[in-house]
Amino acid sequence: MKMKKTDIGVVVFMYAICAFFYVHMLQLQANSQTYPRFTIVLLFGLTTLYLLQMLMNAKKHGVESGVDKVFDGFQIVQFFVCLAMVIVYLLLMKFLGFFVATIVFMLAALTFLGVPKVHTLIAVVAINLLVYFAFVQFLGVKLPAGLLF
Amino acid sequence: MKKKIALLLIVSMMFMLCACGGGNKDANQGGQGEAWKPDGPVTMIVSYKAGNGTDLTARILAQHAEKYIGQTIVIENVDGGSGSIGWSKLAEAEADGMTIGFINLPNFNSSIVKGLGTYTIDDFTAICNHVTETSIVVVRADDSRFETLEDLVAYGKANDGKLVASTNGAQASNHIGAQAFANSAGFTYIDLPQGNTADELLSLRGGESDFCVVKVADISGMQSEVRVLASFSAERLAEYPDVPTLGELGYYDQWLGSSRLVAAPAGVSAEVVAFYENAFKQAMEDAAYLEDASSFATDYQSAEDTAKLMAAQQAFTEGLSDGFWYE
Amino acid sequence: MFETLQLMAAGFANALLPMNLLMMIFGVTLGIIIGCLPGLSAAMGVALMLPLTFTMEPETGLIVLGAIYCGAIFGGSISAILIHTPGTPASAATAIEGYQMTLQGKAGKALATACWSSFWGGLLSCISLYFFAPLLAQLALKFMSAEYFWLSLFGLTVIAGVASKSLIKGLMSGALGLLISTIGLDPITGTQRFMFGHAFLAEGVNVTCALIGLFSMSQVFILAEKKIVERAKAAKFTDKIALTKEERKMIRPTIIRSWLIGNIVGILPGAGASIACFMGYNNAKSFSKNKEQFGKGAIEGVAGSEAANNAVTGGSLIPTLTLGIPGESVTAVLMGGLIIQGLQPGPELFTTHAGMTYTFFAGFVLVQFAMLAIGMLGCRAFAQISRLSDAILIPCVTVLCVVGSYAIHRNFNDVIVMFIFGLLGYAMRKFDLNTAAVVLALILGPIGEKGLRNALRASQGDLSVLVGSPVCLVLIALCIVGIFSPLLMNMFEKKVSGTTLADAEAEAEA
Repeated sequence: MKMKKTDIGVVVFMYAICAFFYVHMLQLQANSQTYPRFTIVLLFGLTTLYLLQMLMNAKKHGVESGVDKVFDGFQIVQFFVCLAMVIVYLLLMKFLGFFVATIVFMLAALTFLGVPKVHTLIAVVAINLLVYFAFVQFLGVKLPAGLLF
Repeated sequence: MKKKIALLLIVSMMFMLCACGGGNKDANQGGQGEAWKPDGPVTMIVSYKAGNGTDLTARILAQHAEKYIGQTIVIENVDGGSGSIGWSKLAEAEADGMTIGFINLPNFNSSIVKGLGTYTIDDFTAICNHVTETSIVVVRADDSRFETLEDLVAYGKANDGKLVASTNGAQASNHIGAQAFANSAGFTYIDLPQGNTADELLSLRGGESDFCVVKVADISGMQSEVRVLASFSAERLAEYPDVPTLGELGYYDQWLGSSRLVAAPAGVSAEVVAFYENAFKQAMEDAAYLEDASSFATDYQSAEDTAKLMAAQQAFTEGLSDGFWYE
Repeated sequence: MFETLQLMAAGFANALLPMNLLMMIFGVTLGIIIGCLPGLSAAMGVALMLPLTFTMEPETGLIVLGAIYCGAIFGGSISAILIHTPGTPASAATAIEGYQMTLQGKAGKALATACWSSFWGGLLSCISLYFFAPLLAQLALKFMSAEYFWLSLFGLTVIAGVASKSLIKGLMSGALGLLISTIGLDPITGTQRFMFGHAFLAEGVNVTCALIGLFSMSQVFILAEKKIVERAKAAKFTDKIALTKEERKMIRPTIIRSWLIGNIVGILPGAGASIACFMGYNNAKSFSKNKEQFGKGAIEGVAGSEAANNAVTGGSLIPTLTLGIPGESVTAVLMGGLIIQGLQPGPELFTTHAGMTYTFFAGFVLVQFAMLAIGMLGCRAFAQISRLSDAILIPCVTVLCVVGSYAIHRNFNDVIVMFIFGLLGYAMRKFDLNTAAVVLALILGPIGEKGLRNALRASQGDLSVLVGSPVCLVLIALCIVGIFSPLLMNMFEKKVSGTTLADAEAEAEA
């Protein structure tokens, strides 16, 4: 198995997590440090072990980029627009309240993804009614309220 | 076509839910007249999960108090953060009398001391006390080493730092109890925080710990398995007339336990407090209530007494930090 | 003995009263709906219905609660299979194989398998409830801090089983989960760890919240990056739902093993069904003759997970009723209900209140049949959801993720945590790390930490306490088997086929 360059990212990410938690762990009082330290060392050790395995693979089988494998058929525009819409949706909820934000988000997302109008309408109505009756009416969950609702 | 069927299916699923949905409307603003009355459903915040002990007793009180309050009471469970999330919400609620909530002493005080909440004791107005439970010291019934409290203390002194006591959490109510007892008796012990009272008692029954402090109601189902050695009360408990109090044995002589009380956000008018105080008092004296509430110790106390209790417990919990906890 | 049999018969006669039957159907249906919605757990469903049962006869009330409990544990598998969104943590392992089956157009079959296995898991767990309750309850008293430490470690060995692509990446994921599980108040000293001033993190990262993010929200991102395809066109949708005779025969041993696992895990106070499903899944995998099917929609994987989590239901009732020790959060709520009704858990339930207790047991048996009937009826209809286009699923699942994570504590912070875990889960899945391992570690981490630290406190640092009891030794043996069985299997298979490990891995990835 060739070493994949993308896996370097995994190793860097895990080391960063270790470093982040380690710095904050040092601020804890002494007897609260032991267990978190143990988990950090465990993650650090396993990551290092993985790094060694990667290097061995690189020596034995060579190196490949891996990017094309991981991101095979990646729809850049579609993915990032969807991601942005989800983030905007969460932000909007603070201002518009849950239901208005949900309707806006669903209409936008379904239209963007090319869903026929009839289906869009059914989906929006169905989900909102489901949430309203299951969560608000039956369970009495007060969903985030905004300026409008 | 098939896709439409699938969508229709979701819709029909909702109607199933719709059929079993109950109504609950948003609370309206409370007006202020000469005799104050809530003019919409009252929200009651419980800082623990639905089904938790506090939740269950709160629901029984709410159910019977509706008659005297004249409005429905909607219990809102706001759990998380060891109760602090719910108490923060109560402290920040509008002081119009439409939102009240339950406060659990001494967990409430601990949350302030631990810095979990942004509130202080002054952010709340006490309405009345609901349930009080007194702490007791228990050991296993088949543990022949500890027939009396004196045996336990003697053993603890002879083997300082060797006795093991399970607790319901670090610096939680039963840990405070064990600590108060051991401090006054002059021995140290190892505490095993278990996170909740059921596991605390499991640890005792399984033989991992030697003694523990719990509340009276916690052992009602296991009378044959545990032996009660002493109680944290001024007078002997009605349920255990043969069990001495710690005070009469010469140890910690203050009441210790937990209490669940009703409070409102600070700033509510005196009329609001008087209204609820009266309504809950009547509810707690209601025959139907007393029948439903037979499994726990109802202890009505006036708003004034409850406020004193809150303040006293706060002072006690804050005083614990210096020298009370051993290393 | 004869008297007991008489009581049991009388129990069935009582449970068959029309009112009780009606409430069973109502409870199971409600439970299934609560279970399949993300964020609404069995415990929440039971807690919500609890006040309503105060007005009923105690046995009817208990039957409704039992029905909701069983229904919800099964219901969680529906959304896990159809949209990779485990409705409750108890169905997390079901999503692994169940969703693969959906991708192949076999959603109906996956649902039927889940229903069938849940039925058997639940029904078999009644046997131990009926005949061995007082005996098995003693097991709960044998589990102290050291035993819990080993139990959680044994649970973590399951990671080796769920990590199909790379063992070491699976372990890394598990270690990451353990590290995340240290966020919150220190269980021993009560000091704040990695909370950064957020009180809502005091009880740690909410497992359900993390689960919704890691499994469901990440699924949204996975769907969003691919070219939208009509699911119906991607794989041939089969309407066949009923399990064939061969299939039923194939999953039979899996169901029996999962029943035993679920039952024992249920008896032990702790995390219950959410651990059992992973153990059941892992067990199905290690004993399976078709290991290569795992990760690609193995019917035994679904059966192993679902039979185990429903077997927990009967198991966790045992210590609840006999000792007053609830095996998991649902039974803790149930016990609260019992006490309010004036029924103290303990031996008296089998003497003074035996009539009520045996009616409840009979009701619990009948609930399993109600669940089978309702589940099987619903399978065909529910399976249609799997034909929805990804374009519709992306926004719909997003909304369900948001509502589900919000509903846990009615707190927007949880939604943000869910979203962060969604991004993390997406990245992990892209780079072959294992999200199930993180969930497993999040569930087991706190149990293991508390067990280890308390055991060492009680013994004042003496390590021998960790090997001090027979139960500990059994658990250690299980851990060793758990760790080395995949390696041994690998070595064995390598010898047989004559290929190197590295090649085998390369093949698996291709």
